[in-house]
Amino acid sequence: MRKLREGHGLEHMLIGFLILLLFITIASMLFFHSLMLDTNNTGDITQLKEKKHYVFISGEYSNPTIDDLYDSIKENVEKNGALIEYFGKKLAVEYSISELIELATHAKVDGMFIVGEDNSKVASAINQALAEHIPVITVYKDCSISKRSCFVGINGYALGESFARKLESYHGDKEKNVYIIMNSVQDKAVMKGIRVYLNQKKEQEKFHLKEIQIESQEKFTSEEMIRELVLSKEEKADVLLCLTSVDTSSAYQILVDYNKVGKINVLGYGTSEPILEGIQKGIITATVAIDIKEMGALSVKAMLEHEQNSNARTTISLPVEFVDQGMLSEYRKRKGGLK
Amino acid sequence: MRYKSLTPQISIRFKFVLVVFLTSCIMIAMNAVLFYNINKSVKKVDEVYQSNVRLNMFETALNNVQTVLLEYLETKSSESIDYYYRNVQKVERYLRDPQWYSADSDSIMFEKDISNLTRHYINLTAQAVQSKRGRNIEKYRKQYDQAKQELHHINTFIYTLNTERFQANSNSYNSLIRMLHYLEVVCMITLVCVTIADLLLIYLLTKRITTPLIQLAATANEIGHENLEVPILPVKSMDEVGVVTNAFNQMTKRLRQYIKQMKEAAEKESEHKQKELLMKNHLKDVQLKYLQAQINPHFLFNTLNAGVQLSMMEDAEQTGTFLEHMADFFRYNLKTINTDTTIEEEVKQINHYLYILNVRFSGDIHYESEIDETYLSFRVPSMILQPIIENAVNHGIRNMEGNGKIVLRIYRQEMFVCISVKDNGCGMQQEQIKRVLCMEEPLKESSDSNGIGMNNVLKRLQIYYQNQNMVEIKSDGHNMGTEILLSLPIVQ
Repeated sequence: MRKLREGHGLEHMLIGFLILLLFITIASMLFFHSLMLDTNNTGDITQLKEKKHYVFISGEYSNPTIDDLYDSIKENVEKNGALIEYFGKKLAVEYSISELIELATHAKVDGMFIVGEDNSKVASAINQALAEHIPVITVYKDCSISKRSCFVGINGYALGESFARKLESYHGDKEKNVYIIMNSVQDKAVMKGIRVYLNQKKEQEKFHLKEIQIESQEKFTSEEMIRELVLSKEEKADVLLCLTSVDTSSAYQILVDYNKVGKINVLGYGTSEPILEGIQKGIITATVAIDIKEMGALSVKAMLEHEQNSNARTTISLPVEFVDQGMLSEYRKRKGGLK
Repeated sequence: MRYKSLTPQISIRFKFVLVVFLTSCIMIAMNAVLFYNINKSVKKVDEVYQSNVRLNMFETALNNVQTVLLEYLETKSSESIDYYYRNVQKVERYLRDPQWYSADSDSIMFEKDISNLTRHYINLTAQAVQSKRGRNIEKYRKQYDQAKQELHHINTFIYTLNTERFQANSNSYNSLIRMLHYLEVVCMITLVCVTIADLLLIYLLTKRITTPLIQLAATANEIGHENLEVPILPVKSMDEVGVVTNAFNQMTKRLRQYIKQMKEAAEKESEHKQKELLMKNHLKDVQLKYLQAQINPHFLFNTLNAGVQLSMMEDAEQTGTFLEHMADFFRYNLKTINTDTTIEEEVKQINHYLYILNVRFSGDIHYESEIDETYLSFRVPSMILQPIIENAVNHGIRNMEGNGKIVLRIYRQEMFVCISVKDNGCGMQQEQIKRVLCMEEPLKESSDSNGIGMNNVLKRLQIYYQNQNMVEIKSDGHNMGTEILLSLPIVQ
């Protein structure tokens, strides 16, 4: 050190340090500058504008299954170099599905993924979009009365049969009152599937099937009806068969809240975390596990097929799988692995 | 390994200029970069909410279209249709504006939606205008309602986009503000670092300049205190201080050489002086010998003449004795002229001399001697007593009336051998004594002197003993006799 100092090395080191400091400052400023650019710019506008613009339309913004579905579709759309928008979700005003389809049609989007509803307004809006040469893929739930390009989901009749099999295997020892919470027209196909299966098995006497029609599509209706059903002294339900994940979660929560655990069993739909928790606790006997990722991938595949060929497949069915207490850990493992 | 300076030839002035220039450049560069970024950030902050402003202006223009459409449908005034077209153009200008789209993929879809919905809306309004012109009330009423409905939807979209943009812009604004704070901190840290580094640099540089100066001063001080054994100062750079240090080193070296030369010269001079002294001694020796050689040969001839006369008159034993004394006398003279001798020899010589004189002057001179025989072997320069006796005879007793008497005494007094020659002659004045001792006035030599006078004796004694006060002349005045006392030091 001493030698250095004697030989003026320290001065040279200092000069070097100052120059280094200058470079560090300039480098940090450039970094800062690039950060500042990143604040507003994330990509090339022209390139983004030219990408295909699809929309995803669903009336169920709080349904985690639908959110997972959107995520899966988005992932697959983006893999194909296109953009997708959860149409209407961010809007300050809540529009109906038909209105959203109309707006999307006016907005000249390149394609629509719709969680369908079997009503005429939606069908009309879908048909209008198709008339504007916008392909429409219904996913998860169909709008069978429309001319939608393709439906990707579980076949209602097959689902009914599967439910019937589960009723038979879990609750086939004595007579049961089975209440089926029906939300849409397509749930009738499920009902039909159950009945046909039970008739074929000649067990229709053992299961007293009762349909609970949710009177309208208004919110919170199903939850109220399930609560009334559970608390009703006249209606003595043994099994609740829910055809949506929201209904399944509601039923589970009501049973817990009103201490009906063990008295009423639930056969559910969907694999959201509260439902799996219900299975773990034995409150929900079994639930339909839908491979949402697969559904999303197949939807995008269907969209691409219809863009190239308007006469492509109109229905893509996914296999029905049930998860019960015995299969839960394995299912969780599989789901975790998929994530 | 010694670290070599990269700038050994740079002058102090240039070094100072370089430091100030360098540090100033760094400061200026840093400030320029910092100011540039600060300005850019501030500009960016200003621009943050511009997209909201533009969207609001677009919404206003769009709503104006609806207002003037209603006005037109109600009044069909040319003014309202003019306003209508102007507002439509305005709306389209907004849609064509490149700044309409943002670079965010989520926003761009929303912006595309609004853009296409607006075009759809403009189509609807255009159709309503056309229907109004065709006076188809039912049609344009329906189309107006559709357009109104569509505008409502668009406004919802605009509101949502505006809210989103505001949210994003607020985030951007917050980020920018954070960045500005970060920038401030970076600026402060950088400036503090640079200032500290600058100060250190200047401190070290000035230290580098002053350290050799301090060393130089200390060394100069040492030399001022006559310590020339100082180390050579190291020269690290050839700046002004380096040049001065170099010159100082050379000066010290020269000074050392000079002092060495001086010492050598002094030594040589001392040696030379010694030699010179030796030479002088030799010279004196030579002079002594020379003086000894100055003995007047006339005396020899006169004495020989006397011997011849005696032998002629008597032709007897006395003549022989006389001639023997003569012969001894001259033999002594010849023998001892170059060397010193003993008191005994000198006494013998006096005996010979007085015998000769008594022959010459018919036994007029009475001679007595009291000699401490211990000192007969004491060595003295030759021919010192005879001239004194001669002096006593010639100046003391020759011209006196009655019998002249000479007493020779040799004795010891303290550390001296004293030789006293006392006559009872005419005596000497004190002034005369002084002059004789100072060798200012040599005693007049008689023509029959042996040539060695008192002066010669005095000089030889001085050279031989290196002492001035060896001879003392005592006389109590006229006719009171004279005593010449030689005090010869006994050398251990």
